[in-house]
Amino acid sequence: MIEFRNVTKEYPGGTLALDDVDFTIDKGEFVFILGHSGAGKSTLLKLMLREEEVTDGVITIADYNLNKIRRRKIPYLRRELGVVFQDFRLIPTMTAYENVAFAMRVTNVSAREIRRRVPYILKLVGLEDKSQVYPEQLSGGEQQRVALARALVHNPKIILADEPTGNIDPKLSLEIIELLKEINRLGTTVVVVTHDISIVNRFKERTIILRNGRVLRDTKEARQ
Amino acid sequence: MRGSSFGYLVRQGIINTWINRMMSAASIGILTACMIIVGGSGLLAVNIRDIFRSIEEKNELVVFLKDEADEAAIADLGDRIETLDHISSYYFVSKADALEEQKEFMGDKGYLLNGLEDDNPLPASYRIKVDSLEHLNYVVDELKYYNGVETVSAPTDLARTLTGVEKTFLILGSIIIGILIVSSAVVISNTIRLTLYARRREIMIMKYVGATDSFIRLPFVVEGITIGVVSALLAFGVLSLIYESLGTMFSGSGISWLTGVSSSLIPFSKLWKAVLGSFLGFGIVLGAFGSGTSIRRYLRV
Ligand SMILES: Nc1ncnc2c1ncn2[C@@H]1O[C@H](COP(=O)(O)OP(=O)(O)OP(=O)(O)O)[C@@H](O)[C@H]1O
Ligand SMILES: [Mg+2]
Repeated sequence: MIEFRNVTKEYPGGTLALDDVDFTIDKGEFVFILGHSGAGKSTLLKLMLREEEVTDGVITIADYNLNKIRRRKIPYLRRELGVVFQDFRLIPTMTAYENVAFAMRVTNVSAREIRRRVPYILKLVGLEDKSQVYPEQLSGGEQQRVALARALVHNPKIILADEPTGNIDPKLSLEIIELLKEINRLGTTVVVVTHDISIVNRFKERTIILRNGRVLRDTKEARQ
Repeated sequence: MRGSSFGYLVRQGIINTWINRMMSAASIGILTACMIIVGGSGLLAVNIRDIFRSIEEKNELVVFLKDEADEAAIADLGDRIETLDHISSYYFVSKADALEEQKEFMGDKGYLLNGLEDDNPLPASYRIKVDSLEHLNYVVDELKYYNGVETVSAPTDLARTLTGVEKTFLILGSIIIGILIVSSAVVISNTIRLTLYARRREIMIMKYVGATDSFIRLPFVVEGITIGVVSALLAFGVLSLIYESLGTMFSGSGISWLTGVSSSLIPFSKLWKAVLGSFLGFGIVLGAFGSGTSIRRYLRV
């Protein structure tokens, strides 16, 4: 489902953000990517979204070879990926419902399908009561869940969450990871990027540890 | 793209124009002014052209023949005219025809010319029409020194002036119109850029959730086109008022040459379709182009 083959990423300034990174994530897996600040976690996500291109190596995601993908096809790659950003990236002038519906509308989904799907997803993340509320009136954890709902609404094959526990208190962090695990149980591949080792320790899932742009340890290989 | 999405995007574009109404109004104002200037010059140009055409039609070139020119020389000259370029029609007037013509011209005093048939002082001539005034000099030069030709009479000075005026007008007009088109495009593009800036967050999110470039672009193109169409309609209204009232003003002025001008003005009923059509075309193309160029930078994510 996600394949990194000897991926190196050097930014124009000369920063080596990723150095010979190599791993495979299969369909239906739940994986933590753990690393200190500046380890290259966000770079990894940007490469997967094809916001950045690799300097060397090959990335394949859901049958798209990202080295060869044409510009016109990038939107379709992104529809396979549901991304939850660290800073949520909600639109402040839209309600929770509209924020989620917006993501469907701009990908050419019918109005009927939107009316059917959005309430279902908001219920899944436990926000059915807050659908008409604007982001600034929502708590951090609730905003987080709107962002998650928006990521889920396309029924993507893969969920990518960048520091989903970064801006909320520990209890809510556990809740959001539980929610992601629930989604994973329904068949979606989930990748959670974090620097929070206590969360990782608590869940005993596969963990890829990044340090200074290199894979320090992959617990899957360690177990084999 | 499905119909409901298309409708949604078009609505978004029109809403954007309204939200951004200060800038929209400014660019509509500038664009309208540009169109009125361009359209006004256009109307002036077609009217001048029309006057030129009527002058051209009245003017013919007359090649007078020497009295000693015989039948062979006349036929030879006829062949020469036949093979010249830029001649739309010609005919021969013999000495007898010329006298007949002159008699007719003098009306009831025509009898005075009776008896001149045997000692006719009027020369034979070829009357030639040239396809365009700018080729008049060429034709005159070709025939002037031809065998049997006495003299060629033609309004060459008028022709030179008129063609000169027409050329200058064309060049100046193209320069002005070019400048106006470029500045209109820049103004629209800046207006759209403001909307883009206000909506950059939405655009970024649209990119991340997998919206295609054409989907993201459409509302902005609609905004540009809305500005273009509104400007076209305004400019059309203003220009038609100006044109009609100038006509009435001239004809009621009591100044004879102005009255003359007003009677030769092409009526607006013959022009409005072309004016409205070109304004709309101009507005739509500029609007689409102006928004297209400003959005490109935002799509690179
Ligand atoms: N656009 C860029 N241009 C140049 N250097 C960059 C760019 N983005 C990231 N970097 C550098 O690449 C390295 C890895 O950055 P990245 O954002 O991937 O780290 P991270 O693991 O996400 O860190 P954090 O936990 O702080 O978010 C850092 O040294 C960073 O300064
Ligand atoms: Mg980061």
